[in-house]
Amino acid sequence: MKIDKSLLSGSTKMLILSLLRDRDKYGYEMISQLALLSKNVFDMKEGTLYPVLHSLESDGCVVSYDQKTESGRLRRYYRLTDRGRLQLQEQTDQWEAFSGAVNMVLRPEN
Amino acid sequence: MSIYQWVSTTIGYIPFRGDQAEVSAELHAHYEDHVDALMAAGLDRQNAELRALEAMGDPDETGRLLRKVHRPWLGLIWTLSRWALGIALALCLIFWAGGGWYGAQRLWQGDPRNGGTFYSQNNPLFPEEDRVEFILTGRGVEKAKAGSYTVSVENVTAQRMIHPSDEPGGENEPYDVVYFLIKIKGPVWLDFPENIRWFITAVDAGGNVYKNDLGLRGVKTSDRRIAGNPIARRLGVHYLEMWLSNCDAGSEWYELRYDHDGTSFAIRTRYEGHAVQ
Repeated sequence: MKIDKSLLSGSTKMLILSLLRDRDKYGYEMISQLALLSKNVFDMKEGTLYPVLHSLESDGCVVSYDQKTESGRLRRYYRLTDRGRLQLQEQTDQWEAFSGAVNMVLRPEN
Repeated sequence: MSIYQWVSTTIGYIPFRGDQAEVSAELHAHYEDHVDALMAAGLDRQNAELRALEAMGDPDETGRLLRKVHRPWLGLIWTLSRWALGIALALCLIFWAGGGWYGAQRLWQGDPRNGGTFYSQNNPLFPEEDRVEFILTGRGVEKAKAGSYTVSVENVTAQRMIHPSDEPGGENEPYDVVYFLIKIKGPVWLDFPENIRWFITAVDAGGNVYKNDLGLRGVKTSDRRIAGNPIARRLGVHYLEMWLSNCDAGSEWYELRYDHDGTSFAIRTRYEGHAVQ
């Protein structure tokens, strides 16, 4: 199912931060995992991942470092910082409150 | 469109070249990762490259989003600061290789303890044929604040000069000169206040007043007088040389006085009374 992009745009940062919660990842890995976990619902244009990542880095939510692959290619990995972890928690709380409220309005019988 | 054109279009929106190179490498690496993944899933290279490029999206949209993050003024500040640093370093080199070095040489030559005879050879007060009979050295005993500057006397020397008689068999004429090396320290952003030398006067222990040779017109050569020159200009530390003429080299102390345009100070100096020549 294709979804309205505006629904995704407000939560992209939160989704990316959540992908880094368990370990450091590189860009393509994040895109793949996002598509896998969302069953291809969140199928963002891959180039647009980087403005989000760089914005999170300039806000101090993630830090990046380069690491060589086995084939010798350089990959840039991103790591969640304490500040990023705090922001993820706050955004998750807000999202749960928001989505709960939306569900209550859409399905009042539940 | 190839991946090179895609990346080139995207990074063209980033105004700062340093960021362009990093983003370019990251986008290329992403594309290669995707191509590898598609080929591992069974696609041939050509199809894998087409799919991976299509998945990257619109290069103009990505570029505009990147421009918002990589703000142009940050890059501009970085570029300007590098230029400013380069220019500052070049100026420091010119300063130290030029005026600073020249000033240091003059200071070294002018110190009688180094055997230098800079002022007796180069100053018109001391004709070449005159010889030095003795030199006494000393130093300032106090510092003075003058606005944002601190003024002190680095050393004081008293010289008894002998002027040979102009007539055969005539008596030689002794005369005394006292020389001060004045150090002026101040903030690096303030210039050398070299014009204070026009307003400095002096008094000796006998109560004799030395008028300023430059600040007062009409001083006769027979008057007790003080004059001086700027001799070294460095960042925050400057030097003046000043000397008393028609003075008494045996005075126990001298006091340099300045009182002009709302600023005044006085520094007393004494020399230690040992001959170095």
